[in-house]
Amino acid sequence: MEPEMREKQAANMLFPGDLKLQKILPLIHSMKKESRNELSIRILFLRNYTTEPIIPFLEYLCYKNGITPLITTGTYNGIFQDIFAEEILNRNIDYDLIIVSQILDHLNDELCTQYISLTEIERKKKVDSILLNCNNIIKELVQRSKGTILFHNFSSPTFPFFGICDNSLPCLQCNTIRKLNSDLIQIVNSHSGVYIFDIEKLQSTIGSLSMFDSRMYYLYKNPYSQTALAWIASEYLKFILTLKGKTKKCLILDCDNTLWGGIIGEDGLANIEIGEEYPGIKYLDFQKSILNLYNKGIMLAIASKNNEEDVIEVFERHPGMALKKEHFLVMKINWNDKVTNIKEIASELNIGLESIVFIDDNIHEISQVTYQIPEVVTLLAGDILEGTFFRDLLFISGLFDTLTYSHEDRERNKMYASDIMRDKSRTSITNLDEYLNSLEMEINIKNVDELIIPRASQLTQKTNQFNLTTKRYSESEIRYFMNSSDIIIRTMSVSDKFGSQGIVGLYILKIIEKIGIIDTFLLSCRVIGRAIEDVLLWDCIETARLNGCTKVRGTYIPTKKNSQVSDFYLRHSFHDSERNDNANIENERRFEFDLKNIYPNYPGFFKKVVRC
Amino acid sequence: MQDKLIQIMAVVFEMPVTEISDNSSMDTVENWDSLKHIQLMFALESEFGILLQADEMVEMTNFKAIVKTISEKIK
Repeated sequence: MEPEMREKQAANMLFPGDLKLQKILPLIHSMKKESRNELSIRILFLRNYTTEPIIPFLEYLCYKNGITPLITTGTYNGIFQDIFAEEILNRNIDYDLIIVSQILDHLNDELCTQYISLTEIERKKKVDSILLNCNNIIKELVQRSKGTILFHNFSSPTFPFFGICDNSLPCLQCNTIRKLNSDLIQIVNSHSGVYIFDIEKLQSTIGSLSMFDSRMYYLYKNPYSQTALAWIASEYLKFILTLKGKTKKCLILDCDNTLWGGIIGEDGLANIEIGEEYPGIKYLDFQKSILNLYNKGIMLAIASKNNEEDVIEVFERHPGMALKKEHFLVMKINWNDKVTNIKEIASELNIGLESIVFIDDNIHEISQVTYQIPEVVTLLAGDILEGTFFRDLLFISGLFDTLTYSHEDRERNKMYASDIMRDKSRTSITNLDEYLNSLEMEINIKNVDELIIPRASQLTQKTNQFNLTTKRYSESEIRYFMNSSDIIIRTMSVSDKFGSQGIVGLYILKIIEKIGIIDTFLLSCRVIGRAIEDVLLWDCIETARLNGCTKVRGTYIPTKKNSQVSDFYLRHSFHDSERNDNANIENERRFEFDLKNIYPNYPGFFKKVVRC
Repeated sequence: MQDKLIQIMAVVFEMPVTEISDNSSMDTVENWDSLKHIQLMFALESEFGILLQADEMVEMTNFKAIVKTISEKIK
């Protein structure tokens, strides 16, 4: 299939194999000039081979996603040199992302080229020294930088020297690499903010024969083909998007020819294609993959042009369906256009359009959505390439990828469902205070500890609306705050009679010369409107007081999404304070509360507030 | 073919097409270092749908040599 066709097929999604240098280089030049991106990312490559050919692909993908990349490349084969050299890693310039990319050939040539000639003891010694090297790099980096670290694992030999008997002993060539990679996972997972870049997985995805390029390796010490470089950059991008809070939260699905084959309104319940036999199995497989997203905490919704009762009947009565009505938070089954329905879904779920992915089999619907609401990522239902699985469409670009997976994520869809019940009970009670009283809310506020770090980082990265400063922090940065004596970082969890909402609020208070500066104050959009923020801010004020502060200062940095909190501090007894002329962010507003004054207590409708 | 080649070289070396001539080579074009050479080789391969041998890559360090190699391959 022609690349153009594929692009059309996949709507605004890219297929990495289609990226070619001669096409992207002119685009990079023009994007560089025109770029007015709000977001940027500082990336440092520490490497032991020629990684530069990756850069144009990475730059292109970053610009295309509204992020300006600032890339520094360390010394060739000089990782430790760079780590200890002040000019690359010093405390003033910090990198958001440090990519440590090493190839085994340059770490230990004999292990790659003379495997059989080595004795078992020699092999073990070499592997141990490689692991020690990796461990040392990570240890030093974690101490020197707050940035997220992405650590390449190692690719396995395309054709091991032992051939078909390579698996006869656990210590032979391929298994040695597997063991090395699994030991590396343990090292990496013992630190937070450090992640594996799974080059071995990528190698198996695109195949060794299209991954490596011996010419480039022998001549220029870069082992990868052009295709591989594009794929590597696309995999980096998944991490970058997650770090920059650009993950998607919600999948909106069309029904006919997307969730099942055929048109329910015309073909009828008995004739649509869904179930264990072809062609129904194609759709069943797709539905099952969506269930995985559901259990990962992705919100599901339907936008379908149909008679509502027809579609509901499929969900309730068709035995071949893996998805049930209860998996969807909102169903818009009507004859309105998809743009209207998508906007309504976004507002009912209280999420921004930029966190939505929409999938439909109809190119006209797709183009209308892409044209009118370009923030929404659109996917055209169908195979990316002949013979690929339908479900790959949802996973190839890592749209729903997250750096971690927590208990909160698994329970998230249950929490959303209880949110909806809560809203229903709200409509039956007319008075807001009475409603809030009836929820029997219990609040728990405590300092961040090791276990909460991933969720705390996730909150800073995913929260857009009730977020006063919208500062995104990696796990390493959160840990740094946690360990700093003059920074207090506390999270809040909430539960009520409908269930637990988990950790939904956070603030970061920096104490500088007896002034408490609120660096970050945020609340998950799921719990907005229940006066929970009153308790969180009250806790913040009391914490500042306990730590000997005389004033508390809050900042509001406007974004496209957080206008609802523009007067948050004013509504909470703070007063406008002089703006510092050095403030480099336009429109930034500052507020102050003098701790000589009494701060009003939070409202009385909480059943229990626990602070520890 | 030459037009396409000139365009690709201009993009890779970040210079105007008018400054590329028969005499352009690794010695005369300031930006033409080994890293740019990698880009040029990748771009030529995918643009012309050809595969180059390592020996050819080493030789293709001036405009005339590139034209010669490519025209042999696409004929």
